[in-house]
Amino acid sequence: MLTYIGLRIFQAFLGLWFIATLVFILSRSIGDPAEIFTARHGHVHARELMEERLGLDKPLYHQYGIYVGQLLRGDLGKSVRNGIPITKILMERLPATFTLGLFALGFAIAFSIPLGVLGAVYRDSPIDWFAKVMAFLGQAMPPFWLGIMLIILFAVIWDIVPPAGKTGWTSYILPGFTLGWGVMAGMVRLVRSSMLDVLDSDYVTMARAKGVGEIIVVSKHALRNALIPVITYSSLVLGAFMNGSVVVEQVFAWPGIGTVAVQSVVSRDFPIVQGVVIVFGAFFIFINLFVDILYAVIDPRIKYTGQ
Amino acid sequence: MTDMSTTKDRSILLDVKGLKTYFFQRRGVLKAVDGVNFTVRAGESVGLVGESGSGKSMTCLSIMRLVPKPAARIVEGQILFDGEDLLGIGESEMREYRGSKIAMVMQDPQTSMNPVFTVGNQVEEPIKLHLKERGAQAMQRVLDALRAVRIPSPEDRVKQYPHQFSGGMRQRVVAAMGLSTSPQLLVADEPTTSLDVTIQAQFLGLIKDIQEEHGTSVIWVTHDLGIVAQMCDRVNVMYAGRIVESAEVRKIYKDPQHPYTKALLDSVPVMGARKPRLYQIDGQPPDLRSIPTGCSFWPRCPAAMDICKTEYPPATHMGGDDFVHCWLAEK
Amino acid sequence: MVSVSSTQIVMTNVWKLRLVAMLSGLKRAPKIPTIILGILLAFGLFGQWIAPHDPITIDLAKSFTPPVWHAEGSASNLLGTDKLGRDILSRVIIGSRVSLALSLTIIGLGGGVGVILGLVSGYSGRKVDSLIQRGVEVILAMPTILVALVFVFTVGRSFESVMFILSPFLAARFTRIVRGETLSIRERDFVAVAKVIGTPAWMILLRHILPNVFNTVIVLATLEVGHLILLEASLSFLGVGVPPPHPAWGLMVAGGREFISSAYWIALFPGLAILFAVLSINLFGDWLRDTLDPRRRQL
Repeated sequence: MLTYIGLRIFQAFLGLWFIATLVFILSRSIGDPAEIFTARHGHVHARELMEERLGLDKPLYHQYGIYVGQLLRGDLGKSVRNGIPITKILMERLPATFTLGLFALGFAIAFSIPLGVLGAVYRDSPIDWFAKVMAFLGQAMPPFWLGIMLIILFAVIWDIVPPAGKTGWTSYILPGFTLGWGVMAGMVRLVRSSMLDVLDSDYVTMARAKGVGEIIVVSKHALRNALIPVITYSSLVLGAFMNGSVVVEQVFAWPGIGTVAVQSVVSRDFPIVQGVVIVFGAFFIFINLFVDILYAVIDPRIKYTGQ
Repeated sequence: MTDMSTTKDRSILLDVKGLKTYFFQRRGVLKAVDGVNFTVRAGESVGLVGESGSGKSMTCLSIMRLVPKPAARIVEGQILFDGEDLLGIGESEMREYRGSKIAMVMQDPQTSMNPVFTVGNQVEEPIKLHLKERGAQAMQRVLDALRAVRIPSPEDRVKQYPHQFSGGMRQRVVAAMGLSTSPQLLVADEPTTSLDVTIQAQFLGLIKDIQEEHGTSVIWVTHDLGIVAQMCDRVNVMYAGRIVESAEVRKIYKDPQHPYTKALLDSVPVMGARKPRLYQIDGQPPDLRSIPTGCSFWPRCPAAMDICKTEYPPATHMGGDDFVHCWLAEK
Repeated sequence: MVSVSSTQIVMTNVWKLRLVAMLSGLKRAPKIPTIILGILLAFGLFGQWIAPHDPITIDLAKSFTPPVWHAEGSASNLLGTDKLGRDILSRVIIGSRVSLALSLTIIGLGGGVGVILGLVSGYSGRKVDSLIQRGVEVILAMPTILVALVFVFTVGRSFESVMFILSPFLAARFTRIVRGETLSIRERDFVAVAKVIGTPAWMILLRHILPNVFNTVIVLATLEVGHLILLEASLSFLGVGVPPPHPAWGLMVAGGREFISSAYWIALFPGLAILFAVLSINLFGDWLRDTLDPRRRQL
C-alpha cells in the first residue's frame, strides 16, 4: 500500500507542476498584464513602471524561473491593484469558501445517502419516485436561479434566513443548499444504482441465506460496498463545488474565493486570477489524492494488491 | 454413498409439494418452477439435475425463500421442513431456519463472499446469530469450522480477506460458513462448477466426510452427471421447471424411464467407446414464458405420442420414492 | 470486377440501418421530454416567427408589466415585460437560439476532437496515451467557469470566444470516456482478426472501434448538451456570455435579480426555461442510454 500511496503523491505533485506551468503559459500569452491593467487604469509611463515592478522586462525563461521559485515558497505574487500579497488575500478568503463547501457537502451526503438507499431498497415505491425526481431536478436546475428563487422565498417573503452575506450560521443555509443541490442530485442517482447492484449480488444473497436480518444486510453488508463508487464521485464533487462557488458566491454576496476571483477578473487584476486558478487546481489535485488514499484504506483489495 | 437400502426408511426431512415460482415480467409470466414435488430424507443426498434454465437454482432459492423480489414470487405450494410449512411462516421465523437448520453454498465463491469483510468475520456471523455465542467462544467455533473444512493454519487465515484465498479454499470457507451451525440440510447450488477437477474432487470428498459424520442431508444441484453418480443416493431430473423423473441413483443409470433422462445419459461421452458422433438432444429447451402444452418435452422427444402433445402426464410411481412423468411409463 | 469492396457496402448499410432504427426507436421515447425538446428545437429554428414581439425593441411605456394573470397584466405580453419594456415571452423564445446554437457547436467541435483523441489515446502505446491522459487530467482539474470567465473577459465577449474556451473542457470529457471504451473494445476478437489480416490502425479505428463506441458517444453528447446549456447560462449570468442585444437566458436572470421582490417574473421565466430545457434533455438522454447502452443503466 505504501508504494501505491507514494506513487500517487508523486503524481499529484507532477500534476500540480503541470497546472502551474499551463497557467504561466496562458497568462503570458493572453497579453502583457501590465498593459492590460494600465490600459484600464493608467497611462504609458505607469505601464513601464508596472512592467518593471512585475519583472516583465526580463526574458521569458527568467520570468518562469522566478515564477516557479515563488510558487515553491508559497508566494503567489502580489495584486497588481493594491500590492497586497496574493497568498494573503486568498488565505483570508479561503475559509469562507471552504466552510461553505463543507456545509454543502454535508447537506448533499445527508440527503442523498438515505434517499438513494431507501430508493434502492424500496424500489418503485413513492419514496423511490421522490428520489428520482430530486435527482433529475437537481441536475437540471441552474444554480444561480435556484439561489435567487430561494432568496425570494425564504429570505424575502418568509424572512426566515438572511438573504445574503456571511452573518452567522443561519446564513450558511441558503448558499449551502444551493451549492450542494446539484451534487446531491448526482449522488442520489449514484447511491441508488450502486445499491441496486450490490443488493443483487451473490454475497448479499449469501448473507440472507445465513439468516441475517434485512436491516443488517442493508446497513452492514450492502452499504459498505455500495459506498465505494460514491467515494470516487466525491473527488468530482469538489470540482463541482469550486466551479459552483464562483456563481453561488456571487448570488449570495459570500466573501469567499469565488467573489475575489470575479472581482479580480472585472478589475483586470490578473495575478490574483492566476493565483486562484492555481489554488483551485491544487485543491482539486490534493482532494483526488486524499480520495485515492481513502479508497486504498477502505477497500482491502487495493490495500494488499495495490490495484 | 450411503447404503441404499436404508435411506428409504429414514424420516422425511424436506417435503416439497407442488412448488410454483413465477417471474412476472413485462413480456409475460416466466414459469421458472412449475409444480415441483420431491422429498429429501434425513442424511440423504439428493441430486437436482437439468440443463441451464431448467429451474434447479430457483427451486433452491424457493426452498430458502430467497426468491428475488419483486421480480419473482412463490405462487403456490408447500415446503414442509420437519413437518413445518416454510411457506406459511413469517419472515423472522424463516430467518431462524436460514443459516442454522438449512444452509446454502452457491456456485461462485468469488462473488458469494463479501470482499470488504474478513473471512473470520463472515464465518462468525451465523455463529453469532444462531448459536448466540460471542467473543472467544465464537472465535473458537470459527476456527473449528475452518479446520473441519481443512483450511490450514486457520488462526492466521481468519484475519484475511476473500481475495487472498485460492478458488478451492474460498469454496471451502463458504462451506464452513454453512456448516458451522450443524444444519440438517445443506443446499449446494453447483458448488464445484467454478473449480478445476482436482480441487473439485477434494471438495466433494470433504462434503461427503462431513455428511457421514453429522448425518446432514444434501441437495446437490448440478448439470454434471458424474457428481451425481459419486455423491447422491437419489436424483431428480428437471426439465422446463418440472421434475420429470425421480429415482435412486443406481436405478436411474441402469434403467432410466423418461426419454429426457435417457437422452442426458446418452449424451455423456464414454471413454473407450467408439461412436462416430457425439449424441446430442435435438432442439432447445423451451422459452419458459411459453412452455408447450402437454408434456413440455414432446417437441424434442423421439417417442412422442399424440397424447403427449395435449396432456401433461401424471406421476407414475415406480417403487419406493421413485416416480416419472411420462405417458410411456403409464402404459 | 466489382470496384466497391464488400466491406464498404456493408459499412454504408450499417449506418443506414442505424439511422432508420434510431428514427423508429424515437416512437418509444418518453413523451413529455421529447415534446418539450421538439418545442425547444422549434423555438430555435423558427423562433422569429413564433415570438409575438420583437425581443430587442425597447418600449419604456410598457416596462415592468406583470404577466397576464395579474390585474395590470395584458394579453399582449403573456409573461410580462422587463425593465426596458421588452416582452419576456419573446425573449425567452429567442433566447433559446443562443443556448442551442452554442451547445450544439461546442458539442460538435469539442466532441469531435474529444472522440478522435479518445480513440487515439485508447489505441496507441503507453507514451502517447499517458501524454494525452495528463493533458485531459489537467484540463479537468481546472475550474471551468473561472477559466472561461477569465478568457472571455480578456479576449472579449463573443460567440467565438465562448465556443473556443468551452470546447477543450468538453473534449476532455469525451476523450476520457471514449478512451475507456476503446481500451476494452480493442481486446475483442474482431479487432485481433483485423490486425492479423493487416488492416492499418486508422482503418481499424474507423471501421471497427468507432461504430462500437458510437452509442456511448451519442448518449454522452445528449447529456452534455444539457450540461453545456447550464454552463452557458452561468456564464451569461456572470456577464461573460454571448454579448447583447441577443437575449440569453442567464443574462435575463441576472437582469431580473435586482427586481426579484417587485417584478419576480423577469428572473423567474428564463430560469424556468433553462430548467425545463435541461430537464427534458436529461430525461431524453437517460432514455437514450437505457435503450442504447443498458449496461450503464443508472435509474
